[in-house]
Amino acid sequence: MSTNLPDERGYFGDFGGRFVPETLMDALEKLDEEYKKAKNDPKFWKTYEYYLREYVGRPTPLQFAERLSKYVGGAKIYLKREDLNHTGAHKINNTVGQALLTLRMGKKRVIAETGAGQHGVATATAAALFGLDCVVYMGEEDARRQALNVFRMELLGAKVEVVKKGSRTLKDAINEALRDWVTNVETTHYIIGSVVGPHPFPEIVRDFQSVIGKETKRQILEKEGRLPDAIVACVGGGSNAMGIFYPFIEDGKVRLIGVEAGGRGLESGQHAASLLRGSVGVLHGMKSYFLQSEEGQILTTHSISAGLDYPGVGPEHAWLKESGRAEYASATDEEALEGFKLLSKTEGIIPALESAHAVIKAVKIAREIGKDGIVVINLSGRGDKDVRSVMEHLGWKFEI
Amino acid sequence: MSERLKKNFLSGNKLLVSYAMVGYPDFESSLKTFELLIESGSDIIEIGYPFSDPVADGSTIQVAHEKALENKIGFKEVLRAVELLRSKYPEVPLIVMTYYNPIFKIGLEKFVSSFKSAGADGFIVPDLPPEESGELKKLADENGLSLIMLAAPTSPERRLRLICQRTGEFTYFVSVTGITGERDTLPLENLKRKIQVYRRVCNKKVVVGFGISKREQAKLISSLADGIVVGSLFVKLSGKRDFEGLKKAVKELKEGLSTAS
Repeated sequence: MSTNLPDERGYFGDFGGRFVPETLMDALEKLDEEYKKAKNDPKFWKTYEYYLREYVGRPTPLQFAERLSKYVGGAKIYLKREDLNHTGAHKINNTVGQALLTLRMGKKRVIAETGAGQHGVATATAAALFGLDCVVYMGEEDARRQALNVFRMELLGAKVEVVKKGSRTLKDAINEALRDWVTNVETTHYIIGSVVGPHPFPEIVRDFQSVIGKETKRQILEKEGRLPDAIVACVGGGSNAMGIFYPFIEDGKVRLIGVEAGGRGLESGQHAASLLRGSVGVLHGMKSYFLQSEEGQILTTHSISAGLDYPGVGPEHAWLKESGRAEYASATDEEALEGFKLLSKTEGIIPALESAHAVIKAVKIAREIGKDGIVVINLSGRGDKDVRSVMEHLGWKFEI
Repeated sequence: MSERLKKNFLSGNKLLVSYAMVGYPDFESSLKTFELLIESGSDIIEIGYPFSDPVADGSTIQVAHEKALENKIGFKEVLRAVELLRSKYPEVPLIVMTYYNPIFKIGLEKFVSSFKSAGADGFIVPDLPPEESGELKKLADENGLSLIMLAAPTSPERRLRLICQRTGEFTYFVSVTGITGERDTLPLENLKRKIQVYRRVCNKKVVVGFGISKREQAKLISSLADGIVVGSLFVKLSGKRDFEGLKKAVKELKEGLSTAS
């Protein structure tokens, strides 16, 4: 299994590439060149690691989830605690890296899209840290679901543009960010938030996120003296999953399991499971799997978690699926809520609804694998942002 | 290569390339729009084919995509529009403009051969750069259709050469870094320099589009290029079913073109 991808044209097998308006092509070529230089520049990585350590708070713990494991009664479950990063999710690993790239390219303005608001907050944070102008595009529906994050971004000095087009979620926020980029490409870098988009974005974001997997590998060897049997992560665009999977791709015995948003059930059509229920197409600059009609119109998606509510998936996941190296499953809204409550009660950790999809699937897998096994869950973010919407969902009323 | 396109450019006149969306505001009105655009003097017609995520388009044309999809316009309906227009107007070049995903998902071969049979002359696909265009280009060539490439103000000389090599009968030069939509001012000096570079490296014809809606702009830009593309203005008028306005707009733009130096 090769980890030497993408190729020169930005392909992971049949997936990836660069499908964008001509206006962006030169900028993408320059970004690719600059990133290649940075990739081979030890000073760049030293700076990156400095900020991850001093500012983000890495390395994050790989915590043995003792009570959860006991409750499950199967394999030992470890949590990779990305929720403990500054800003509360894995997203900042990428935004700090891309902000440093922005500085290298001499650009002063960054834009980003956001679904749950985590990537928007992480971008606004990095922009504040490095003194960059920042505009974040967010779908109206998501801005409503995550109003607190909108305010957070404004506090951090970013301007939030609420997108009132199309499905008013992440997909449309990306469309609008791309339109901004086409217009301001000479002064602006687009900090894309997941392993999606035209080459070289899927590679860049994966590389910055792969710190998760590298740490996990070192930590599990220290704690257990061996690699885990399975690693479970949620997949929307797929950046936290790619980040933890990537350093394990060549370790063929470690099962890599991605969990997509099953929404109201795969049969209902109201979900965001593009790998499980989608077909190959081209959107947002990449060839990958998308939820689309027979004539190639992109469909609206549904998930209880804004961060997974996206009709596509990163091209490297498409390749991992096709090559059989990774497995993909789904968890419904209701299952995710169960994971949300379970982890809160057994470990005292309120997970992001996105990560809760991985938690609940990992419970099943840990039971299947049994007592001698080890399962790692990538706990990609914390759930503070979701408390309110879960409360509404459960119909909880405050009574004195 | 399409004979109709070739003939059109041979005239030596500055050309008006006019865009409208099939199914916006409804199928019949869009057909009437295309007919008026042709009868008032447009030289080439771009047939807009709706897509759910038109990232290169500004708000006017985005609305048209959305509304056309609401009106259930898809592959069959756009084919029918092309057939109807072709049977009524045997001479005017018809170029289908859409994003790559519908073409990819329907299947390149089926898409190209169906539009060939319907009477189209080519395709413009704004999110398909030359590097990714190989397969569609080959099929278009085999069917005698033109795949028109876009060039941008951000395209360096190296890319202009590549675009020139890949494009069909002409190149569609985007006037501004940005998306479609009417603009009061256009960066003329920069455009002039870019088109000079293009002319030096490419002997294929070039039309300029994005942001053009006024007689004076038509005049200034067509003195640099072989023609202009107008979209958002026509889409806006079509959306209001302002057919008199459409006729008048085409005439004014044609006047601008005919007075170009």
